[in-house]
Amino acid sequence: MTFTSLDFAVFLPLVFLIHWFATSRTLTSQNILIVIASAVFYGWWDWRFLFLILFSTILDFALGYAIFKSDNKKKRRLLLYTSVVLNLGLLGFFKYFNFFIENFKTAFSFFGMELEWGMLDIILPVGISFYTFQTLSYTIDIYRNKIEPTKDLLAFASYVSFFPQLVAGPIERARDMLPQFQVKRTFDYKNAVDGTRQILWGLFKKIVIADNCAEYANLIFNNSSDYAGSTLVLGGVFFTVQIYADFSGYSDIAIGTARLFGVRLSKNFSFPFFAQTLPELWRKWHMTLTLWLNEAVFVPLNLAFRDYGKTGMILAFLIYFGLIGLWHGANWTFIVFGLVHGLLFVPYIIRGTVGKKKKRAIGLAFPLPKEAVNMTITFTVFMLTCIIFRAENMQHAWSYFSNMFSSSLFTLPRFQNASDSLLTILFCAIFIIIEWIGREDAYALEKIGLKWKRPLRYAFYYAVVLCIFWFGGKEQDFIYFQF
Amino acid sequence: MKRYLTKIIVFLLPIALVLLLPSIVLRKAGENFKSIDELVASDQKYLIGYAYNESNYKYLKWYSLQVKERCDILVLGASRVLQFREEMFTSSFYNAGFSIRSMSDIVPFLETIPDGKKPKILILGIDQLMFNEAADDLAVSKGTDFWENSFNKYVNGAVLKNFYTDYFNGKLKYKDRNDGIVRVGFNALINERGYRPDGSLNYGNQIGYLLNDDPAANDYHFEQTKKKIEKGIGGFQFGDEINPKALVKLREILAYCKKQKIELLAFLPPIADEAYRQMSESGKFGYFEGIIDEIQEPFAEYNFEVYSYPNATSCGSNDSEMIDGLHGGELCYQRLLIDMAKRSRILQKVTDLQKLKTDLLQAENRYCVYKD
Repeated sequence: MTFTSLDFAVFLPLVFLIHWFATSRTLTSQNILIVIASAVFYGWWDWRFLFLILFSTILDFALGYAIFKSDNKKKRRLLLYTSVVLNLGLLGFFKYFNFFIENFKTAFSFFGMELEWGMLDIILPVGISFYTFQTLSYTIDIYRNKIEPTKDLLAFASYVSFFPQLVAGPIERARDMLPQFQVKRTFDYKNAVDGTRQILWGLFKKIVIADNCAEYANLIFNNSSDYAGSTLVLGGVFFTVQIYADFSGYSDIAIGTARLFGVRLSKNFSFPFFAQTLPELWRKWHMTLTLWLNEAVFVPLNLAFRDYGKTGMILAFLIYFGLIGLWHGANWTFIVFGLVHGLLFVPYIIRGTVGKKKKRAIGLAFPLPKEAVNMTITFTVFMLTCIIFRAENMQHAWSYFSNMFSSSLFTLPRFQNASDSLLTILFCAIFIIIEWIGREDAYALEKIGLKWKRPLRYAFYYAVVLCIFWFGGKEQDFIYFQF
Repeated sequence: MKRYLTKIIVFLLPIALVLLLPSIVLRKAGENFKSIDELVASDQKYLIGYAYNESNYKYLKWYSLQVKERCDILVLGASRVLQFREEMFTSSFYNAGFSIRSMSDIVPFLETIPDGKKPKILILGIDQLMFNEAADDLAVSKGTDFWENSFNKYVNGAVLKNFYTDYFNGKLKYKDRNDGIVRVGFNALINERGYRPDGSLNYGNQIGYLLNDDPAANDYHFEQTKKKIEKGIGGFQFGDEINPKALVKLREILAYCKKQKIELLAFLPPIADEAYRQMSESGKFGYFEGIIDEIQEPFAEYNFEVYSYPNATSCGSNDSEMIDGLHGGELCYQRLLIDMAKRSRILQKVTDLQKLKTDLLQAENRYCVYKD
């Protein structure tokens, strides 16, 4: 079930009430409920996929313990590799099998060899990329002596399957999240109220912003050959706002829901559209994935290539971004999206400014002039790469760019129902303003209105609810479910 | 905990109250919260007519073609083919009208029909406006999952707004009928208007209004159509030239049908004589007349058939048989079918010309040939 479905609107209050009224006495009963509720939540899509999670859970639970118990370096490494190979093997099979077969066939046919390998009819289990990384983080953390394994299978299963973040993250590391399932959770009023507010904001982002933008992004991308360059730019903007509102909206709902159960999840987005450079944007975009890959891939690679100076670092970044792209799916568009970002990092690496922070308007109503220019440039570059990300294939991306960078770039955007899109553009503007006001907080709505008088505050919340019901776009799947 | 629950309940109570009444009423009427899958797959007689969820019809047509046995004849088009009924043919039939709005929707829709269920004969109604770039810029190429995802199960803002407006205007009153027909949606329950199991449209009380010359009829005396023609809106956008991209799309449709071994018969459906006269006199619809000359050649090339009926008179009908400016009634379409059947190699196999003529003579009234 999805967060925006009626099923979830019934499911969440039910689980919440059972959690705090029927099973709140012991940690075991709390965790049993979490595991059962998560199984129902996930099984709602397809109960057969539950076996995959069960397999991953038992496998890593056992391997984690075995790694910890072993003093033999080689054996520890072998056990870790077993975990990595089996987890990534499952992910690879379900997500990338056909992609690799197809590309192998293409590559071999280039040399005149015809391979007879057939494609498989594989259904991609929802959220497999998320929970695979999560279970992997457990064995990796134990191998690196960052945590000790748990003997509580129920707590571990709760960590792996916790339904708010099971299918689209945030990707939690075991050392951050597992301890929260090893102590009895108590209800915290402030946390719950704030969590509810975060859910409300997440729903607004998803239903009002993302779903409305999706309608126009889909229209323009699906018919890109028929549109003028200016319209294609608008299509790129619609998609970029869509993917941000969609994914960060999902993260807000997940974090807010987790807070209702006394569980703290990591922040996944930190207002990336206000970044002034691409490296800064990547520190603010899908933060749990980048952090995970940073620890697991970039740092070891950077260390391995340290003798090659900046060239080594460039190589490490290219591999790191290539993997970020590949993680998103079995399509060259994702890989190229990642590699382009890797290449865009090169000037920063050469100048040594990857980690540099730029001056920004703290506490000011408007951005500094230079900041505004930097933000616009960064957004534009990111938007252009998002076109590759959204395209059906590289050929589509290429034709999209060819049509975009033509003389029609300087005409007025025109597409079917263009006047209807003005309302969506207005909502996007309001959304960006609210995000700007709340940019220093955990999420935009965290503190907005808290000091207002109650009637005004409630009127504001009701206005948000009204927008969700009145102006919600046509329901679309969360984009990141496909990953 | 108590404090939190109290706060949440107090906050949600007004929202729940606003949602509760419509939810109960809409569910009872079948407008929302109810799947039609079981009903469509059954042999039950039904009338599905939504008042607030028109897009559900796209799902209805798509789903029917997924679950029904293969039909020999498929009618496809926008709303101007919905008068074709199974009684008019001698082979199995389904009317998938209202599934498409643009020339670019046709192939994607046909692709959604499972292999083995694709029809032998496709009767395609191509609205003239599909050749006018101002009315159909061919840009809305839908993915094949468009029809599957067109079902609005839950209420949204637009439904709520319309519901409350109609509710307080006392429009949502209806009596349950025990005639063995399952009615889904307010249009079916109140206006007797909706889709039959063969996919054709029952115009319901609109027919009664027309027969009684009641101003409550939609497009009474074609007033709305005439305004649209005057302003160049609502399908009557001005246009001088035939859109060349539409001709390219048309060839794609022809090629697709040939590849799938589907025999294609297309026609340009009629508009009211009065509307046609107004369009001709305005001189702003240059594209309209030239369509048939442009498309005959590609049809011939693929050995398919195409017929043109620009106005009611051209198929032997007249304005008294038109339901509104754009839509002829069953009699009008029966006449059109008879005219095509006389000339068509394809229709000869699936129609009984004599029966069609006899049925026409025994028509229920000037709009309906067959009883419901």
